[in-house]
Amino acid sequence: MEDWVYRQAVPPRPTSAAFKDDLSNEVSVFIATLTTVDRILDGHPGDSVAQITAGQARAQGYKIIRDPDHGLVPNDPSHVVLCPPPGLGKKRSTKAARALAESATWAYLRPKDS
Amino acid sequence: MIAAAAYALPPSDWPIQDRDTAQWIDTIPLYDGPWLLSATQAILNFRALSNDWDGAGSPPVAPAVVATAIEVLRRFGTVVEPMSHASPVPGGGVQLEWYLRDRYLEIEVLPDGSLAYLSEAAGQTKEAALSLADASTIRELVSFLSHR
Repeated sequence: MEDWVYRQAVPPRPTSAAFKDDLSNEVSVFIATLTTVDRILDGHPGDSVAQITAGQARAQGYKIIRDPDHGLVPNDPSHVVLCPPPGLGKKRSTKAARALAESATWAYLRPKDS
Repeated sequence: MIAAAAYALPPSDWPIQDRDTAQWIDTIPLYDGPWLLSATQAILNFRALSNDWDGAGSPPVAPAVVATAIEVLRRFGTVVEPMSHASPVPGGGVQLEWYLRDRYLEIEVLPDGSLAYLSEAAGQTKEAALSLADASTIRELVSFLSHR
């Protein structure tokens, strides 16, 4: 079975902006089988949640690293970070982020005007 | 507020004497694209984002980044298709996106105020840094978006 990971995103479509981080260059995501959409949206009621597979992230060169210390709660086993392909340094891979956005689907899409 | 009031009226009632030459001073010529006002407001709203707005520790979007994003919108918005989407980027940037039928362009204002873009058409992707002072690249991207 494919492992899905969740990432907050802004409607109307998951965009590459959701898969970038201008400071750390790492993308914080959550393993779908170890959390819920409701937990991710706790405190962020206006957001939506996009999902990609771990395989799609790996196909773009990202490594998936467990990071339980920076999740939603202390020792959060669902929290992982997507580390960009080696060699990019601080330069974000806009192309890789765009590819992730293209392959993303909505796990939860906030109803319009809600 | 003057611009907002004018926007609420039909174009025939806008208080502009000479429609061919009149412009708001260094702002957005509303009659070239009424969508620009709401797009500008959407970007301005990013100023209200607080620390950790993304739930992952992102800093807010700096006013200078918002101002640069609006300048990008002003440069492109008056001559090409309406912008499709604007997003804050975790880490403090702002991204503007144009989705057209057969092409795509995103321009990001990075937290330090620098710009980068990615364009896609016919399976070809190009990404590079961008300067608003680089008239040649600006023309190239405008042409890219305006292509029929």
